[in-house]
Amino acid sequence: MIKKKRYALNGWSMVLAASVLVLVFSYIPMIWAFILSLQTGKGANLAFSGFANYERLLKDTAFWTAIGNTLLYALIHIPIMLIMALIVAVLLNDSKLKLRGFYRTCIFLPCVTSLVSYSILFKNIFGIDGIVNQVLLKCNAIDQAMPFLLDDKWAKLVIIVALIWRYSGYYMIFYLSALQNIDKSVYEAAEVDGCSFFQSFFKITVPLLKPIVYLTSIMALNSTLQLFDEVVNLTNGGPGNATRTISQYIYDLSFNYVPSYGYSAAVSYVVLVLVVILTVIQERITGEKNE
Amino acid sequence: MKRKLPLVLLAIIVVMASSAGCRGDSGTADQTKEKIQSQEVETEDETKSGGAAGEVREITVWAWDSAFNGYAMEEADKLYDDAKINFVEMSKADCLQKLHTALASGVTDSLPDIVLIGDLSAQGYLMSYPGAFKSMDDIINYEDFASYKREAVSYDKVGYGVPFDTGVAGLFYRTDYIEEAGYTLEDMQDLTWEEYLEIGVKLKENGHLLQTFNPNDIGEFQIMLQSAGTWYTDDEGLVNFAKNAALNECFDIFKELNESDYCKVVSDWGEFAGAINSGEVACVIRGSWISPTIMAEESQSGKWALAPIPKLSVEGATNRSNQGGSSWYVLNNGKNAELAADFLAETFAGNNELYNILLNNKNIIGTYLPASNVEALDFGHEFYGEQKVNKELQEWLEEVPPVNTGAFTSEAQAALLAVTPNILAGQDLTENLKEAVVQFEQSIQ
Repeated sequence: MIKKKRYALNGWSMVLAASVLVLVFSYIPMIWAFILSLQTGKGANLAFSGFANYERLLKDTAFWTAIGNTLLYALIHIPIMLIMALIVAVLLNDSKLKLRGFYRTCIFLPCVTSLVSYSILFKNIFGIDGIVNQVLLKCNAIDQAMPFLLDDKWAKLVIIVALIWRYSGYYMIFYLSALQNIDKSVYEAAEVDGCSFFQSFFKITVPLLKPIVYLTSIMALNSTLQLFDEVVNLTNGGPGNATRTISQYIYDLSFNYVPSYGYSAAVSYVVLVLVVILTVIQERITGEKNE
Repeated sequence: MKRKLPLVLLAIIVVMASSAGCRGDSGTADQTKEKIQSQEVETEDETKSGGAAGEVREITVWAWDSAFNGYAMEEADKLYDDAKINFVEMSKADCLQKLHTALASGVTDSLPDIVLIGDLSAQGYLMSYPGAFKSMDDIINYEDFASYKREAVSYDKVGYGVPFDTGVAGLFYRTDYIEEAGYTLEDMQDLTWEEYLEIGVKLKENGHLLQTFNPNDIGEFQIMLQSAGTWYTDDEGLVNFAKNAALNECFDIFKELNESDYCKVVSDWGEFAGAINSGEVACVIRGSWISPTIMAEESQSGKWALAPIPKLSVEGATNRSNQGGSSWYVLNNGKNAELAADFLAETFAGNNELYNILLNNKNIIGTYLPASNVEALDFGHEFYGEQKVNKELQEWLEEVPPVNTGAFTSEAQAALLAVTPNILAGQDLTENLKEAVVQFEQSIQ
């Protein structure tokens, strides 16, 4: 019994510093933000008013558009990106491939670029005088330059393309390291049994990678729900509200409009609720099959 | 037991060190992402009550654009002996955001003494943070400033800001393209919007375009609305979309530009400036601050001229308007509030020579009326074919219709932008304006 207590005490003393920091800088502000979300008023003129902010956001069309856009980005770009990352990781896992390190670095490089720089670059590429339009005009695919960023559907597509370009490398690294943990003997046994590449991919690789796929999808979801930099720099919310995300809406509420800090805290709590709900759903989907 | 003690001590020291380091932070309860990239210089610790005689105190100023605002502060500093200016530059968005954060957190040590605020954002700050800004009613004479500026810097009948630069609007145009299309200099004076759009048709025949057009930017509405003495909101701050004849006409013009073939479609500032500098467009209707952008292309020197903006067809329409402009505000809780107020009173609100220097060297046009006769105004600009543009702009700014722009311009523009794609696609204007009203009222709760 005493040994158990000693182990517990030992453990706590190690994490004490980090725990205190997390408590002070993450949990206490979260509670504070909730208290803020119960207040209304412009700027510093805040007063408690119960759940008025939450009632307000139910009727707020701009808010629902932002949520719709954000979820759409998540829905489309996460599956494509993760599948691409998985395929590339499997390809790069081949020990017979030359220059693997070089390819790995190249694919990971977009991840370390500055968010603002690459967004501005994509804006230039898809601009009216940009490369994409010039190529399309030269190939006679279109007769007039397409204003990609000024059309509500194309603008969303450009953002999704930019996100996939940037983050595939990041998740590829996760999958690569997970793949290297799989014993080679499993694949050798499969080859002996006469499995084709696709069979071994779907029946061996994917099931073994389930936990890491679950982890990366949660991470991807979390970061997509908080999407901000790309949207602001590429389209600034897009034609009308077509590409506005929740984070950008929160930013607008706090800094661009006359600030309603209480209301923006309430909107950010909705993001928290969304993340929790989606995480639980994902856990049910992948968790149940895991014995 | 012996090995655990140093570990625990280490943990405690780490926590103490990190919490001590963070005590100076002005934290906020927001969960917003902060994009603060300022190059802040540490301000020296000054005592509030005056230092020893002869000791030069420092006034901290937050603003953007060191070439324009920074230069103005530098010149003003030379004319004032009792203090030294510490100009902290940051981008305009960062400046607004940082000010919100500092004022909302209630932590006063990080506040500057003077801050530059754009006229359209000012009312929002004055409304949101009562008591944060120093009233200048007893320190400067507001009658000395252009009347349209006085409205913008006051709240609840108390004046707070010291008006600075003007955004008096003008129609800048390429004389060679316009003459090629068969118009003379006289024709370009006192146009109506109808006549202006017709010029576009003639220009297209010669292979030129009239102006740039960004379907996602209704900034030009500001010029059009103020030229008719109206705004998105009325004097009481209530929404003014549906029965606003000027706004209806703005949308009609916007639609016509969208459907025309004589506009260059652009989607951001870079493409906008590019279209001007590359000679694709003949005209630019903006505030006077667009001049440096136009003049950036030196090969076009001598080919530009300035005319008054076109007039709407509604009652009360004029050829005078304004877009943007900013003013200096003194923060009550800055370290040297009285000194800062005195500095502004002596320089920007009392010194004609300052405005002469600013005009001469950097084409900075202020709104200080006693300085409206300075010599620098008589300078004929080579870029504009020897036209005395500064003199004309100075005359116009006194005639700009004063409008109460209220605190909710951003919200109004956002609400209108949300329905603009529908209007451009041909849907009913009245219905969409009604929807914009609903959205607007929702957002100002």
